[in-house]
Amino acid sequence: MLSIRNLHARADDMEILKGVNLEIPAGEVHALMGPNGSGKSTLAQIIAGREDFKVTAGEVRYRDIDLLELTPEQRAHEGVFLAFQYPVEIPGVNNVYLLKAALNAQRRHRGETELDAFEFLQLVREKMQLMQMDESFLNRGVNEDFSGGEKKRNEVLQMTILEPTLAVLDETDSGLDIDALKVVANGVNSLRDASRSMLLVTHYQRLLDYIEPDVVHVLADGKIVRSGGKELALELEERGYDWLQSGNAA
Amino acid sequence: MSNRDIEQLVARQYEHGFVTEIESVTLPPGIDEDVIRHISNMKGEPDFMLQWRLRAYRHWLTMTEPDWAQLNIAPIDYQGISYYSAPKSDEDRPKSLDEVDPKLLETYDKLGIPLHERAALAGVAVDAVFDSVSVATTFKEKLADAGVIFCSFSEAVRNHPELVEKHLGMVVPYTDNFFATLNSAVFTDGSFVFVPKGVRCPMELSTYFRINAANTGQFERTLIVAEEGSHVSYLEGCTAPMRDENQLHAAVVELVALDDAEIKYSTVQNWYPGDENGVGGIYNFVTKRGECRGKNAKISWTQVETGSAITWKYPSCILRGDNSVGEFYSVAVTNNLQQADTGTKMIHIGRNTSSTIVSKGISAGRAQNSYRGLVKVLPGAEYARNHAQCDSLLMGDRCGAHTFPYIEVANPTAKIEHEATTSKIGEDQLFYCRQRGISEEDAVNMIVNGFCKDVFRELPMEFAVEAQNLLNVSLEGAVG
Amino acid sequence: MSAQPAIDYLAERHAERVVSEPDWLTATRKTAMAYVAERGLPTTRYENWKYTNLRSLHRKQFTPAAAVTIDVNDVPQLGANGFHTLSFVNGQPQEIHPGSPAQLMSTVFERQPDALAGRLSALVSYESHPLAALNTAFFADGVVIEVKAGQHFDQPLLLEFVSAPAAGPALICPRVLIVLEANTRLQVIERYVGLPDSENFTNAVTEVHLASGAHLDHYRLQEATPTDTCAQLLAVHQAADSRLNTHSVDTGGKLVRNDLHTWLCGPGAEAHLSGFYMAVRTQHVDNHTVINHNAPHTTSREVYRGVLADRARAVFNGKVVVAKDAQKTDARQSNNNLILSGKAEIDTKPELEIFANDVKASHGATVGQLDDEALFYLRTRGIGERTARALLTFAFADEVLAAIEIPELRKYVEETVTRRLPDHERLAKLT
Repeated sequence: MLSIRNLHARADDMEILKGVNLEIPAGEVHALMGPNGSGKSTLAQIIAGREDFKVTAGEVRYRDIDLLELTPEQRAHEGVFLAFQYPVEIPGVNNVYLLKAALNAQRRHRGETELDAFEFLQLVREKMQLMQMDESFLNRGVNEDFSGGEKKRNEVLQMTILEPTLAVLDETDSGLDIDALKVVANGVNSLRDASRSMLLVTHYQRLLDYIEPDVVHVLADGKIVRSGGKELALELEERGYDWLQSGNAA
Repeated sequence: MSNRDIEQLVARQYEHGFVTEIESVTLPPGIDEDVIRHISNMKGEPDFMLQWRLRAYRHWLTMTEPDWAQLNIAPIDYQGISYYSAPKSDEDRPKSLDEVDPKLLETYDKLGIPLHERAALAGVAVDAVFDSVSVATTFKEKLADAGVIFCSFSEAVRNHPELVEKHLGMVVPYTDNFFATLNSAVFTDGSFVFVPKGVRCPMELSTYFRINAANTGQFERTLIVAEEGSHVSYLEGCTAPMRDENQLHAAVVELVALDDAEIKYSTVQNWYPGDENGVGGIYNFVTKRGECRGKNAKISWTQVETGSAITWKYPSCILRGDNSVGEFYSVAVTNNLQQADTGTKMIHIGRNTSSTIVSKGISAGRAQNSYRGLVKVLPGAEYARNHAQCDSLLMGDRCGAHTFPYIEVANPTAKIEHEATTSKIGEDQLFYCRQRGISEEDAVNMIVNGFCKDVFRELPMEFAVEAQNLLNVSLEGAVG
Repeated sequence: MSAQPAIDYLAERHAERVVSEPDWLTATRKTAMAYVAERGLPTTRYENWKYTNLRSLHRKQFTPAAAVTIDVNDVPQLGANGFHTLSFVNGQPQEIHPGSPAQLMSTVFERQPDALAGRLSALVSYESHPLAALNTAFFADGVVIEVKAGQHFDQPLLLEFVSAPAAGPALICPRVLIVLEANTRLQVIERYVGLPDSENFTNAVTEVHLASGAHLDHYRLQEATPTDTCAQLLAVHQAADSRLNTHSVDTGGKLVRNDLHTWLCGPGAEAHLSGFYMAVRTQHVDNHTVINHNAPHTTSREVYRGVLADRARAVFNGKVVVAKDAQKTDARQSNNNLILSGKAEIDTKPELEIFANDVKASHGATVGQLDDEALFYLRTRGIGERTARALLTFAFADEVLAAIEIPELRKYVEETVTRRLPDHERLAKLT
């Protein structure tokens, strides 16, 4: 599904990714962990097409498409979704309006008919129930005056509606209390199936209690330094990252 | 989003820039007392009107042009302007729409104002002012049944001279300012609305202005009087053909609201802005003022200004009556070399008066957009309230946004709040929308419309859609 | 005062006293005099002087300030021993203490006639500050404060300008030039204080050059007598990464006009302006500030607050200009006013002029009264209404005064302000 080979990237004068290799087969959920500043968010943003980072070497292939050649919206049309670490506020633009525009843009791309207002609202209501979101959400501006938790829920709501093939969740768990975390995890799990892959970027293993990963990777100083099963996350929780970085890995 | 993208984004074409080939009667350029007598005579005006015009003209001769603050303006040759131009068929003016010159109706079609159908569907009564004279007024009978007078200013002078004489110049005196005084001397037509006591006007009233003939100025004058407890909503739309030379539009609008009356005045202004090099375009120098003369009166101005080479207007409210309310909602879009200097004056005189100002300025290209406003609380204006919000959105790196709010308070019970922000369309916002699969162009439209939402929702429904489309048109072709 | 005879008169008196000055300065003064002779004092027809009328000065025949002798004990003491102090009485310098970064201009001219050429008056535009021409034409002696790279001054420098009653109304023109070299830091207090019954016009100009990384804390404390007229221009040029903190406090004077103009000319430069004005009786206080963002990544913060009682009038005009290439500018400004009386008036105008597109700029202005909720809350806690009002008024002021970083100065200013609040004696009982 997603195949990253020897990816190097920089922002301004700083090299952030120094040769990342990552394979996520269809149907699998991978977790990406690592200390602050290791390049996790950069990787997530490059997959989505952020132009602030310059890819200097390597490739990102997704379903046999060269992802780096596509604009952010083309990637979205192809089924790539990024749940933002810091979802953006867009004052005056209604949540529902944005969602509908996004969904219909994708449907157009796939040659499907666009949903009318009624069908769309029905879909949104159903997913809002899943995410336990309040009706008033419908009339508010995109992320405008949302609490941190509400923003994260909104990201996952959008994901459940857009039904991406590859979902990258960038620290979607941070700032959530345990109840909200369960709701978010529930939303994510509802999308798990054999045709869909996910990359969970996270600091904490607690998210992985609710969304069980197939593989855990550790990114440190711009490289994947270790990959393993979900028990790796527990080990990291216990021992921190230092033992990996100092090079004397057991 | 690169600057190149933004340039493409704002490189739009003026959609209404066609010239209608109609024979017209136009006075030779220049102004003197004879020209004024001629205008008055052609319109068959009573003597009081002529005398008022002459007083204004004589006063105008003593005045000097205002200092142009933030504006760059080429000198205006007032003797090079023709002060009267009318379609030739003026002799036997149309009695109904069927008699209107089909070419004129075609013009309105191109403007997207089919007089016959859309107006009827929308329940809007339309008065269309073409160059200097009013050509057709629809729905006159239906309005007459309700007791509402809605006609061209010329007709009002002929048929309701007592109302005109009573109210003309009471809010904007002929001595008010350079352009208002010039208008008082030479105004040719405009709209007149009188809503009697207790009447709620049964439909939206609307006027479309169009400057067609070359080298003509348009000096229209609008007077709306809302008697006690009445209610009226009025909308004006404006367009002009593309011409290389600048044309002057110096209008005056006076509103009077008595006790418990409410006037809602909306403008969608799309005069020709000049080309991308700043050649041509309308100088839009307008004096608009409303007086809440009675208690609990309310005057609300809403404007969407996308056109004109230079816009200079400050729709204002004199809040004389106790508990009266003034509102100003504005979207001003400038691009290329357009300049807009617009805002409002809220003069608090009565007790418990309140005013709201929401101004949204969007600048692109090399345009300059200024908000200039005055909130004045007089000593006797106990418990005056004002809230002003002025936001600017910048697109491209060669434009400017300026905010000049004057606040003068002479009463300790006043509560005045002014807030202003300036920002650009955020990279983050665009990326977020694009990640969700929305094209850059749609994303820009979405964000701009979101930015203007507080103003659009003040417009009557049909016009809100029109205004939104106008913005989208102006942002068309954004991303290559 | 706009008339030529008055100028000639002033010029003659002035020439008698200036012993020897470098030629470049004489030339500068001549230009300034010509400007004053031609344009006179600004009138309300100037947009920048719309709300402040200098008519009252026209009627007076000012003479250049001459030496007067005063009893230093008549001047309320500030800060005592902790500061390097340099005092002027009616423009005449008192003795200067060794170890101070300050020197008299006359001394500098004697030793190195051209040392200040091209520096002095470099930041002054007569067009935007007509009163600066009057100062340049007639200042007697001034102060030069220079901190060389590597120099370090821990103690604040206090410049005291005393206005004392003279034979007739005196024109006093304090002049200060501050130059901070790269990465130096200094705290300067300019204090304008008056003795009873003076009717002088103090018209000061301070120019500041901040090299890269330099940091100036500038305090302006104006407590002139209620019969004096005070004007000051503070003009600052800021290089990259420099920082300017200004604190302006006005409690005195009859007619007060302050202009503060800073140019942020290098990336990373920051300006933090705070001001407080308290006007009672018929006092008139006008603050005009202009912050020019001329380089990218520059930051400004401005908070001015005012309390007006009786028939007092205040004017605030804060302008923020962001030049075409000053991307990533971050500018915030606010002006809040409390009106305590039906006869007081405030005219406020926060202005933004923005020519760059990638900026964050906001401003706000409020005019209002004490918060009824807060007042009610205090009363439910057993505090009487008048005391509660005094307390809340002080709290309103103190949000600005708290930014004063020199403890003894802050204490002094808080006390000075408190003494002018209505019902301030009730506050004392609370503590």
